[in-house]
Amino acid sequence: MQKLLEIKNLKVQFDFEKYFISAVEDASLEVNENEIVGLAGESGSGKTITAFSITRILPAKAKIISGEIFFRNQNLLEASEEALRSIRGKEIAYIFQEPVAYLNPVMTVGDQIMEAVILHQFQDKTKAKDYVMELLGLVKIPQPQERFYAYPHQLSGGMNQRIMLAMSLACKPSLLIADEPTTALDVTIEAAILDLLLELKAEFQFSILFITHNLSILHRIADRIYIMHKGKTVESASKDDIFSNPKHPHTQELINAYLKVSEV
Amino acid sequence: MNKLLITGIIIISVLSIIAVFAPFVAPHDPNNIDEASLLTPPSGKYLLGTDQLGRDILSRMIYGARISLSVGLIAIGIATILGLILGSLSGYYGGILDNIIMRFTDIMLCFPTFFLILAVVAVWESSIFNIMVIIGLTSWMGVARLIRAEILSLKEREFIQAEKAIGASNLRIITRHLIPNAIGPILVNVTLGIAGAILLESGLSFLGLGIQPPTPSWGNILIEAKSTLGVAWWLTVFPGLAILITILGFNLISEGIRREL
Repeated sequence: MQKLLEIKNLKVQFDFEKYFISAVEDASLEVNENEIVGLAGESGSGKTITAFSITRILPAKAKIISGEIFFRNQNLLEASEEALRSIRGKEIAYIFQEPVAYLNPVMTVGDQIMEAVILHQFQDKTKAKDYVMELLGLVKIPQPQERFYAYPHQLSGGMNQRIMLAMSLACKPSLLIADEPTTALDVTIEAAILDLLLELKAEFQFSILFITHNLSILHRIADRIYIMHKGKTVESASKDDIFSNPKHPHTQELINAYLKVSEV
Repeated sequence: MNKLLITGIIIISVLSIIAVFAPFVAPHDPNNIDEASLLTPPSGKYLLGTDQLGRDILSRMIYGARISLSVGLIAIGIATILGLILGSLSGYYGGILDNIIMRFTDIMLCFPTFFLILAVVAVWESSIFNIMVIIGLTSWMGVARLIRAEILSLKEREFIQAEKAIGASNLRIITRHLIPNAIGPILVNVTLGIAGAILLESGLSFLGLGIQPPTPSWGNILIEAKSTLGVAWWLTVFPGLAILITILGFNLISEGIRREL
């Protein structure tokens, strides 16, 4: 298998001028072509900051201190802002935790998807619009002709997550980073979104870095899993190994947390 | 839509239509001198009377509306564009740029605007164009501060991060996402600003430093009326009322928008 993304010893700190807060201590992970990799850990363990470091869409105060990030053998930490901008959305796309918050409230969802299309694919507006309609159908939005003109607050959470998905898949990225995409949704919608994600992956052949604190989701979809704890990637193994033979005590804790619930 | 907003919009629309179609609406030529009827009170022929040169006041006010409204709109247009550019640069990029722009804004706010304009007009010719530009260049500070404050909070919102994540440039983020989200308070400020600019222009014209006769503006009709105040009340009352109604209209709109937000 071809290596797509490699993060080596990443260290990220928040710089509050008078003091520093370390968000990521030492994170290393790899994602191969056409693979689903899970990144699991409790809240505040640095999963999201690790993911945002990849294309450097970090909050202003967060600074990458050291480490290396390679994407298709290109060192992203040395890439210019210009070069990164052509990778964002086109090669590496994101979907986020709370879709409503991540959509512009004063812009129709159709226009927002169209923006992603225009940025990297078609300059021509009519072509772009046809393509957006196609995308809306692909993520199974009923009546795409009408939904195109809806504002985010007029759609449900699940619907908005489908919009985000359409937006991120607009340019057929090779890596999709999903940052807790189902945490804000209820379980039935969660299942539907996960099914959709797997279906689209089968069709377009991209890799997914799936970030979550919910190991049961990873049990369902992931090929390999990394466990993050206090800013460090503490364990990595194939899905089966992690569940049958967890080595790090924190992994044990995460698994127990879910097994207990399912036993009840 | 609330009543305030609707009333304001009706007032301003009517005034704008009158101003745009002035040649068709005005009953007389505003500069036509009728020696036979100097200082005649309102009558059938001259609805709002004539001035000391026998010119029809109603026609002069109708043409004056063109000047007053266009000064208001263009001056505040200049101010808003300047304010949007400086404020959004300042709010979005922060750091040294923010410091420089905001200190410059503070400096501009220290000047008593009216006297600054007086000084400038004293040096340069006081054409309509100059008046618009000067008012525009001295009223952008409020917009700049407003938009900066809005962008400071908006830029931390998640959807801006999502925009970065799809590869949008800073310019695109500012113009397509940040400014449209901040437009509400800006609109309020714009309508208030137009009212302010019209008052400022009237004030300048009243002092003889604004629009020069024979071009009619509400301000210079008032100053010409000053000398005959004792005998011809209609020369001051009607232009004064016109200014009052216009300002009221714009203030109603701004209050109406504020309540809609």
